[in-house]
Amino acid sequence: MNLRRRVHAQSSIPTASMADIAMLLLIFFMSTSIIRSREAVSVRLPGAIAGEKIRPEEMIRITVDPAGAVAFNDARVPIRRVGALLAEKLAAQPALGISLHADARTPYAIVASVIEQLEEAQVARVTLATMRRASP
Amino acid sequence: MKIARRRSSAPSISLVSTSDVAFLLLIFFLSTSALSVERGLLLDLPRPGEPLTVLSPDRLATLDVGADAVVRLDGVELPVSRVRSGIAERLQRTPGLVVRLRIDPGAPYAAFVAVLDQVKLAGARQLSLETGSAT
Repeated sequence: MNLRRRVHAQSSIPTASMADIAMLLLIFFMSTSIIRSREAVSVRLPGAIAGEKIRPEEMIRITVDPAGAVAFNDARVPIRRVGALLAEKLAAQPALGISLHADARTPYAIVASVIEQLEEAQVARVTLATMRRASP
Repeated sequence: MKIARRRSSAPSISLVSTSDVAFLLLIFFLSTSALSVERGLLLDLPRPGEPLTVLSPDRLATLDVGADAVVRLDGVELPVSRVRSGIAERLQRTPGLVVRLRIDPGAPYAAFVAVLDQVKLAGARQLSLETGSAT
C-alpha cells in the first residue's frame, strides 16, 4: 500500500497589517497629545478627592509657588499685575475659565491675595487645581 | 549583430522600512507623552457690589484652619478626616447651613484645600471664605 505523506501546514502569525496598526496608533498619539512647554513656575499641587476634571485648553492658568512667584499662562508676572492681565484677557475672551495652580506649601495669605484680584477682575468662578487623592 | 533590448524597470519607492519608521515614531510618542488629566475644586466667587448677607449664628458652622494646620469646628479641634462627617451632621440638622471657613494667613494652602475638599464632600453648598485667625 502506498501511504501518502501528510503535509503539515506551517503555523505562522500574519504580520502584514502590523504597519497599518502602528500607523493608526501613531496618528492617535500624535493627535491626542499636547506638547507641554516648560513651566515658568513649578508647583506641587495639593491632593483632593472631590475634584472635577479641568479642560486646560479653555483655561487661563495662574501658577503660584511657595515663595510667592506667580506665572500667568506660564509667563512670570509680578503678583500685583495678575488682576489687570486677567481683566485684559477676559475682555478679549469672556468664556475662558480660570484655574489656580498653587503649590501645597504656599502660605494661604499669598493665595488669598490672588483670589482677591480675581474678584476685582470680576471672575465669577475659579478652579483650584488639585491632584487626585484616593479616599481615606 | 543582435542587440539586447534594455529592460526599463518601473520606478518605485521602497516601503519595506515604513513599518519600522512608524514603530519608532510610535515608541517616541508613547515614551514622551504623559496622560495628564487635570482636576480641581470649583469655587464660585462673589460678584463685586453683591449685597452682604447677614447670617444668624444658628445657620452657621465655623471652621478654623490655624497656621499649624490644626482644624477646629466651632472651636472644637478635630482631625481633617472628621470634617466631612461633622459638617454632614450639621447639614442634616440645619439644611440651609452656611460654612464659614476662616483660614490663618500663615496656614499652608494644602490645609485649606484639604478642609475645602471635606466640606464639598459633605455636600455643603454655601461657603464663606475669610482670612484671619480664630483668636
